[in-house]
Amino acid sequence: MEYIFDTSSIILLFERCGLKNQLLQFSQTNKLRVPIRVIEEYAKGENVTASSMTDFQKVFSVVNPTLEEVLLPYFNFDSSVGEIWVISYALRNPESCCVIDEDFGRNVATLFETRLTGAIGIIKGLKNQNLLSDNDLRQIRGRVRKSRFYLSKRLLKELDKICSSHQT
Amino acid sequence: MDGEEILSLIFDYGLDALPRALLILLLSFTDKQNEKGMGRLYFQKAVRYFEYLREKKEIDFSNYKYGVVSYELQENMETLEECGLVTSVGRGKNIKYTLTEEGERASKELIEQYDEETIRKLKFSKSQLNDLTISELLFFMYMLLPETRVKSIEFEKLYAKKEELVSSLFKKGRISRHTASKWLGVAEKTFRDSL
Repeated sequence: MEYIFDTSSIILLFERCGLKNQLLQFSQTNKLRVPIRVIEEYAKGENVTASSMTDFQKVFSVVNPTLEEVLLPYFNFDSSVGEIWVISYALRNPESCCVIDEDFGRNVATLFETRLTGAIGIIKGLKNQNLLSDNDLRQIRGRVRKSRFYLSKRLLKELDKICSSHQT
Repeated sequence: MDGEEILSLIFDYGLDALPRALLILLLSFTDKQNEKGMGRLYFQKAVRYFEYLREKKEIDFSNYKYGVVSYELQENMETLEECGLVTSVGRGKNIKYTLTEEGERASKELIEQYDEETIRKLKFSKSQLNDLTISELLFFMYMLLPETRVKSIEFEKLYAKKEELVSSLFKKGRISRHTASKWLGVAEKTFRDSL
């Protein structure tokens, strides 16, 4: 499967959940892509170091999508937002799946009928490939709930479901 | 009903006129709560948002107490009601318009007359606005189109509550983090940490 990631999902998976090693393994069987704009946004983060950028580049391959101008009005004619590049890539590569967590970007991706998942969907993918133990899942749930990272109630419920179904 | 009859339905009711066509189409779509009905302020703002999205001004709007409004749209809505394509419940601020069965039939044929992108923008306009509270709706439009604040009696009051309104619009998925930060004049990280 080919995934194209938005910034928020990367921050959640990579930094808040500490899933660098699992994502590296996941990238052996899946193509994990990020648009240039997203890597630029991510690199501005206060916790990002030269070493974490090296790790990042081991997991994700950087792509340079052509901007789909039809998307511009939906993003207030502003192409600086990461999601517009993620959806642009997915429109040109319909087999790829957008990884977006913020509801607005998800709404636009749905409107344009692209494949769509979020960080929680990736966690589910890691779990399905046996890359996460019960303990990992417990830690992820704790970290996500404790972090100040905003996820909708629906996504948090989905995470709880994934974590609890692994334990039963 | 065959194609010719339906086309005559569009012709008979003057649905080839853009304001009427837009109103019928808007009323035929569901919003995020699966509701089709639209209030007076809501259909007017949705059409103005649609015009913003497609960068074309074909409907006559003016800026008034509650921001951008269109008497042209209001008159056309009333005409559609008189023709039996639209029905309403409630009064004044609480009035809600919906399509009648005849209106639904007309909408199905109207959809065929418009390209996919126009329909997408119309659907998006309704899904973005129709289930917002009045405060959220007005604030969203004032921030999107600053020129509509000119004669507003509400903007200052709403702007004083901007943190609350921006957070709620973000959580409802109506604005991106980027827009939210811009509207609040803070860094994206500051906004994210404030949630």
